Amino acid sequence: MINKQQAFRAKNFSKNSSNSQIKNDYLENLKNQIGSIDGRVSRHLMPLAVAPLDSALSGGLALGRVHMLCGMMQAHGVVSGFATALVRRLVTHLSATGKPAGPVVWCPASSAGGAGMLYGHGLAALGLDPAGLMIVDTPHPARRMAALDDIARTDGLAAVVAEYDGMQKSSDYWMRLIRRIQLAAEASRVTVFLLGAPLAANGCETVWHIAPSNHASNTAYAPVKSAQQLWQPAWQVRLQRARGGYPFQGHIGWDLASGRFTELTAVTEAGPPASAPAESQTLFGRTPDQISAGYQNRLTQSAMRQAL
Amino acid sequence: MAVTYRHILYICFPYLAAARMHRHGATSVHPMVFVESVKGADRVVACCPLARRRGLGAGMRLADARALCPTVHSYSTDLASDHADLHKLALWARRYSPLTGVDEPANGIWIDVAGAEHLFGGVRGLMADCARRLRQSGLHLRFAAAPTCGAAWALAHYARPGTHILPQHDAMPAAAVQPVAPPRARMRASMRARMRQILAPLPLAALRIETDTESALQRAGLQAIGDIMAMPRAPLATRFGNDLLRRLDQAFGDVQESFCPLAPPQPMIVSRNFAEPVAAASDIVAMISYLADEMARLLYHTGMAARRLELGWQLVDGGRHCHHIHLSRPSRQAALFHRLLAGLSDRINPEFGIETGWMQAHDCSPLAPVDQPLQHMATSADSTAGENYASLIDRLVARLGYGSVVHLKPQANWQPEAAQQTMLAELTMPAASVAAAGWLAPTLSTTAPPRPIRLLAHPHPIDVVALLPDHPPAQFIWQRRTHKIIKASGPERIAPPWWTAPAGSKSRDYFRVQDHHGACFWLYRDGLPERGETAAWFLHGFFA
Repeated sequence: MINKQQAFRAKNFSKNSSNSQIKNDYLENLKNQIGSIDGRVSRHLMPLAVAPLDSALSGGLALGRVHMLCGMMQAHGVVSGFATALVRRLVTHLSATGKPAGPVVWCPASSAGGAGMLYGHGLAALGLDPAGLMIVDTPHPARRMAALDDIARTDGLAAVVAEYDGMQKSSDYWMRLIRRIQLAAEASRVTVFLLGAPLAANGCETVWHIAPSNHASNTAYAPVKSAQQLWQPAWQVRLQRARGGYPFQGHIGWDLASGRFTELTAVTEAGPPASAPAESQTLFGRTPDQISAGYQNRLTQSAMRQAL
Repeated sequence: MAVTYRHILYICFPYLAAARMHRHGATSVHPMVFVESVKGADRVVACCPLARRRGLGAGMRLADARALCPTVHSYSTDLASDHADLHKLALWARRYSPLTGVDEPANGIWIDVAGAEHLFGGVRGLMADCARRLRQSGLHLRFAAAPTCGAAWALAHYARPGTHILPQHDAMPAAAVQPVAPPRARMRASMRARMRQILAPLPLAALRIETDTESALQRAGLQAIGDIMAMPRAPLATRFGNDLLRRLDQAFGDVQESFCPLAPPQPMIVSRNFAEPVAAASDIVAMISYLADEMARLLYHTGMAARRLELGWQLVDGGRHCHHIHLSRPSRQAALFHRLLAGLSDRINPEFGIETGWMQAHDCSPLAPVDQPLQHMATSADSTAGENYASLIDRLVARLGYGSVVHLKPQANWQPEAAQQTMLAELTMPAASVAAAGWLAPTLSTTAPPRPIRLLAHPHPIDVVALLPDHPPAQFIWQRRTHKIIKASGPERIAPPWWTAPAGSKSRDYFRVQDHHGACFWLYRDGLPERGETAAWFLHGFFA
């Protein structure tokens, strides 16, 4: 049991920096004790292999829970991109435990809304196998959400991704809905990701805000980079709320080759680079000068052909 | 001998296999033959009309057929499909008579039209109707009507087309029908005389006898049916066996012969009639539950499983309504039916009451009895846990509508919007790897062209500023918002398929760009400036 005196001693420990190791162990022990009372220790965690993010999540992303990824859904691929990366990692994580991961159910927003339809070639490029993807395509967001607890209840799914687009509902509706999905997901141990515009009140395990990253190391043009490195996906991630953890903000990249999250560490947050846009363009390795030379060349050739 | 003469219609389809190939998209430019290996040599079993005109025919060796006609295409015979086609035709022919049968070895069907011909204006009218319908569907046919099965067979295969043996009054025009039918005995006598007259010149093969018997008869100088009709029966039986005489008697109706009529497929239907119309919600729920149980029991006892269920109900005013439920795989589990039908009772509007409810199973296929003997009697399971993936598809389809659960399938097409197709979800095993499935941009590939994760079904036009006509854009305006581009790669040129694209389709140059906020877009320029085409810019997708 937690002892007041022990807690007091821990407080004293924290003043002494030389005893930080003992303090950490002690705090870990305390956390476990609180967790066992709270019923949170038994939960299954998936580390994201990004140290600050994992510590903010107190070990990793909780599986069998409802997570919310907020951001601009329309005219952006960032939220669905980050969700794809998380699901890809989840599938790898589940496959590593032995039995193959089940299918992924994705309930996308209506393609008429401006978000575009899911494109298998792009999902495959991020490492998610479209063959294991089941798409629930219904234009009514309310009916989609109503079917969600039925989906989350199903055994053997790897993950469920659901997009709620432009649904105007009371916070009471969302609390009930998320609680219902949460109970269904806990029973079946399916991880659910809700994608959409930020909501005021909810009972999700974690709430993330995803925005495109204009991080300097991502946008800076470097000729030595290969085309793949140049276009590594990156997101500006704000972990607004994590049960049992603390908020986090930072730029997270995705390494296409290894299928891992990376932390973009450069501290300076540059806006658009000072250089002119044209200078940072590459056209399959050619500089703009070479290209305009080629264009001139073609013009000359056509002029010559006409003269002949 | 009291043998009754009937009206047997025999229809023979000499080019059944060729018709099937045409139906499945084969072109009719090359002659086709269908071969079977007989004693180590490929022999032609069937051919197409074109090959027939070139002199090819059944029984010929494939090598000889090739020598006669070098352009011939040969296929192996598919007896199972032939039989299935004949079966379908015989079932179709049940529109003329309840007695139809399949003559499997000779690619024909029997129809016993006795007693049904008056519905079509006599046997001739029936034959004309039947021939017209079959020819419309692209089938070549030879047919004949005769009082016996044997005679009809012989006429269809060996007589001039259009030779029939019909009673006199039927052969006459309708206006001249005799008011009083001639006495039976006289009619039988005249019929028999005509049969002898018409069958006599036909070759012996028309009697459906063994090839060995036929060649033995030919060696003895007997060529036509007429030759053996006049001979004493005892020596014939001694020398050539009883089979010859039996076939001869069958042809003339001295021995009764009947074909095996096809059993019509039973519709899988269960129904419930009410003494008093029901309208209460609980009664409707009970009706659905009863029908689901009965249907599961029926399917179990017949060894079938259904892909589609139709629940129908008839109202007091006679209005009939129905609702269809699609399953992702054939099933006969009562628990599943209950679950899929659970939400339906709210959608049934009984108005003044329901008189009859029924449930019919469609698209049935045989299912081995893998489930437990008593499983079909299990009632709806109230436990919500343990639902598996397959039933999830069914539940979602039942809930959200047909076509709402789909899979993505790659297509071998460079046009981005045609490179993926949505297929109705079924229980398919995922392919071993992404590359094997045919997706364009598999992981770990550095050479794969970039593809967005979300694609706009209809590209949006944008306003673009570019340094030079064939440069990537420096900035673009979309939905009244300016995006300054800090990074771009491309172009990837995708030309329309000239063999299918409509006239005026232009090549596209695709660019992957990143704006100053960091968001990545997939833009393309429609039309090539260096060809002098007017260029328009479009936004087509979003990257992660």
